[in-house]
Amino acid sequence: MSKARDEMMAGVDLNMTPMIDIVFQLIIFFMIVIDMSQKDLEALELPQSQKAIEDEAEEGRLYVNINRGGDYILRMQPLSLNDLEVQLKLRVDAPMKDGSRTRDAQDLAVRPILIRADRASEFKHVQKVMYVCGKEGIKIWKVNLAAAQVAAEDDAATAPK
Amino acid sequence: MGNAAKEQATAEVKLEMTSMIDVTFLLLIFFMCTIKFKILEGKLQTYLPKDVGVNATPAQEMLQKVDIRIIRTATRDKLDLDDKDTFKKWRDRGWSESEIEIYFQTERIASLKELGRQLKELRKTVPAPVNPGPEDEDDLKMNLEAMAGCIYEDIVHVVDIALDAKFTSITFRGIDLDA
Repeated sequence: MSKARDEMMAGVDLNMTPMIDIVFQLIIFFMIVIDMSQKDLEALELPQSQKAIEDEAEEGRLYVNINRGGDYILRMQPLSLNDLEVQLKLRVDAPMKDGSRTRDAQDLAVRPILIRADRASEFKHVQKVMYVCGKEGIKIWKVNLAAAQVAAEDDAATAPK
Repeated sequence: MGNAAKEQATAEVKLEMTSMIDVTFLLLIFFMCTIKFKILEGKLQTYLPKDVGVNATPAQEMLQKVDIRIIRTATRDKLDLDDKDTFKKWRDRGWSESEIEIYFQTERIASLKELGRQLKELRKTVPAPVNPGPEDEDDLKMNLEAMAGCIYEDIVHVVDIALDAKFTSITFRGIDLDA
């Protein structure tokens, strides 16, 4: 009897392998999720603006990033201006999630676009994206320019001279 | 004898924490490396003209144009920051990426602050629209011309000042796409 109890007690050990498996699964899951959520937003240093309003992402918004070197980046993909035009044409008419129309009565795109340009990128690149937005077949008129909001206490320190 | 065996068996039943702590530290390091602090990101809301081609509406006489020209004169990356005066000057500019010259109409403006003051003076003569839009257009039209080399940050600063002076109609002068 005592021997049987000893054997039973000796068998009580935790098998850590499934837990480690699950933890690794979690790590992989988070890695994928983080990657997905960051695809639209390139790591850029935005200029500070005192007049920038709070950004609330609108339904179906498109993002174009412009880095310091003047590369146009759409979902982590560096593109030339011509390729950007092709991609915008494809995306602007892609079905909306809620099934609503992608163009209004005047044939203008319902989708807005957010241009995220690095503070040190040349402004002509932003203008070129605006030019593409106005082209036939794209016709995006709601163009937002991204800027970092300045907190109230930082206003005086960052105000341009 | 029986007591000793029982104590020994009980002593063996313990959780092996090492692996769990290893994994936990791995997770901690992973999240520390990947975390990005949320930057308060905002936007400047702009709209491109809806009408394409020639505008059928005749130009209104009462519209007053405000021409702003920005010329980039220096860039931070080409500065000698070991020079004390240069260092101080750039520090006072908030480590801006570039130095610009601003022209209001045809006159050189000393600083962005001065530009803001002049725009506000001008605004006093022409009231800002209550509900800016196609039905309530701003009679003061700003033309913003960014010369070659001007960076995005310079434009955002000028647009900030224009918005502060309640300008609602800002046009960016066209560019040569081949430039």
